[in-house]
Amino acid sequence: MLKIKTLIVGLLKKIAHFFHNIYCYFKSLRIKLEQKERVSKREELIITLSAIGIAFVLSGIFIALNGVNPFVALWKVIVSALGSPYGISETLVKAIPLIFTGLAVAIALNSKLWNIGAEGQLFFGATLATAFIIYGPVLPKPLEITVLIALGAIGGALWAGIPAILKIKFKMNEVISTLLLNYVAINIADYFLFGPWKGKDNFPYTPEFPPEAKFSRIGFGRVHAGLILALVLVVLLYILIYHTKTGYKLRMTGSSLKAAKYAGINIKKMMFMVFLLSGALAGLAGVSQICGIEYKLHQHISTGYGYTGIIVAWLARTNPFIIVIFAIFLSILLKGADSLQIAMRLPASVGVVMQALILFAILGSELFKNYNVKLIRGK
Amino acid sequence: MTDIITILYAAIASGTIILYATIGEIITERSGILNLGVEGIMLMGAFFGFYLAYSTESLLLAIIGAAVIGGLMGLIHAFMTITLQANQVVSGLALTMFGTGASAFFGVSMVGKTLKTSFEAIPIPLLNKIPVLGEILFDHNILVYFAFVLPVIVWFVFNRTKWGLALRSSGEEPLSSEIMGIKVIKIRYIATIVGGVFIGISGAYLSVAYSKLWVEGMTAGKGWITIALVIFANWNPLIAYGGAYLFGGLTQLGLNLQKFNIPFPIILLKSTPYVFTLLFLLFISIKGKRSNLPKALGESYFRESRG
Repeated sequence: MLKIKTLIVGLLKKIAHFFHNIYCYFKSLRIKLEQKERVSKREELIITLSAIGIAFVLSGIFIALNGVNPFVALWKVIVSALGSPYGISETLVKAIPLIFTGLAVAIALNSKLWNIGAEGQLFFGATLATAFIIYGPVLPKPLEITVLIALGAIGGALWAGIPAILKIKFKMNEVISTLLLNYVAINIADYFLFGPWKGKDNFPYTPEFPPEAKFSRIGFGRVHAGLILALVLVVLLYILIYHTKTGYKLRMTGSSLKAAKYAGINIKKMMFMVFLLSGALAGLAGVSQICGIEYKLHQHISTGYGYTGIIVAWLARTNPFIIVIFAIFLSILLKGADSLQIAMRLPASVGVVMQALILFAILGSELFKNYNVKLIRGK
Repeated sequence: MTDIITILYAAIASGTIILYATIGEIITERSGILNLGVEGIMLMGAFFGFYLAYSTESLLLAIIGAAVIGGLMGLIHAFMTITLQANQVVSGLALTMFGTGASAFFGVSMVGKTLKTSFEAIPIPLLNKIPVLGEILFDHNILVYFAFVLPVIVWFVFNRTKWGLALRSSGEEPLSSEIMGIKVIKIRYIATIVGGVFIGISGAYLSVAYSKLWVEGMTAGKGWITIALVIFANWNPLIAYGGAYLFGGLTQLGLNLQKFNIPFPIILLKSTPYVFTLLFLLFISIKGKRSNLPKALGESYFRESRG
């Protein structure tokens, strides 16, 4: 009896010792970071791709939790988004608003400003354009479209102007103000949708727009002229940022406020302009949605494009051309998530979860781009 | 009169949601970590709290579960921003997105369910007999009472203990603190996790005790309002009372405007919380000093950079 007792005690001690050793091993591990002197484009690409890979693995776990085979789901995403001309056209349709909102967030980020309010600016731009369609005269198509585009941009810029003034005059943090105003803008659209603009059947959407207010299609599924507008803006913004004096000032303000001040740049004016431009771009996403796809204003003209735009901008950083690539990448994901919802009965929110995981993975991978990360033992 | 008492009573009940989260965020920010994931953490807490309350019928388990999930969300943010040195703003946004998406993803099965048990109001003997005040303050459930004392406890820990000192100095001067022997990284990890715990509890209070149901995205921006209230409270847990209850009161007043025959489109009243929050922020940036803003808030701290 005593023997068994000592045996068990001995065994327990050994187990405890074993775990203690493991604990000590992990405790002695130190992360050592060495700044890399130069990061090659190839290395950067490999790290980004592995991060996206990790995000997909994590998403797979999430999907498996709902009892769906993640490999089947991934295949479904790829096939539905890219497997047919129809799929590709629908993916492009989703990429259009993402290019606008991605540009909107990126242009602000370029000057170290956060515009988390693209969603609200999108809605406000769309609401203002809709007001013209409902109360204004029907003009010949080219004129009507021009007016609507202008109003969308003005609406977005107006809505972004509020946090701009709050930041410049009252030093209010723009992350909070832009975000809170999203709720208000959507609420204002709701007010019209449930009130004066309510449909005949009492549902919250406006009547269908007249043909003069609809963007033309470009002959590939539902892809509309908004894509051309988006791509033209990409080129214009590239020229603005990298080949003009204003763009030089913009980039300087973004890299160092102090340096910009010494160079005699009017930072407040610069910030204000950036905010308005950012808002205008987001407002265009709204017009492009209502005039290009939906042909009416309703509550679901955006499925979080303003927020997804933040991811697009963060992934692409400041280069407008790269924004197009990541906008398409994320639209593949959104289109895929839609079909997962329909075909596999996964909740629609699976798309949001996947976006968040990609953002986390990319964010975490940045350390590995700038540093050699080594685990070492000892102090 | 009874109208006003009802509104003030509701102000305390709804202010409590934000009070828990505000205290959590103050703890985190005081250590130098900005956590913009409050909205997502609240939603996760709200969903898991409701799920546990519904399936186990144990309110204690619901609160513990929400606290644990909140702590885990805090841990993710701490790992991203402290160990992986990620940008705190983006990590917080990712956390909000993740919490919003994941709670909706899992929460599908809980939509439209009603709870069999919930927190009952426990009148405090004698105190509840005080005219007016007794009715407003002392006829609530236990979570509301705990919220009455929590800021005082946190204030005490901040200002009268060596942990509090270490926490505050990590948020002000991480490098000097490290030299003085304070383990900045450990403290920031703990502060972000503990902050997450209280934000998770605020979510559970919202779904289990306040609204008694689960709705996708039910926090409707309360997480962002919390972040604004932390600034309003000047990172001081005692001022957080004022911020949270004042905010609760104004919101209730806004929602009850029709009672006072003030003509205003009902649907636009939904905007009042956000507009009030902006006005709050405007008020303090004109009037107040932000003396307690942690100097190192939002900056990555790099222990190895010391040498």
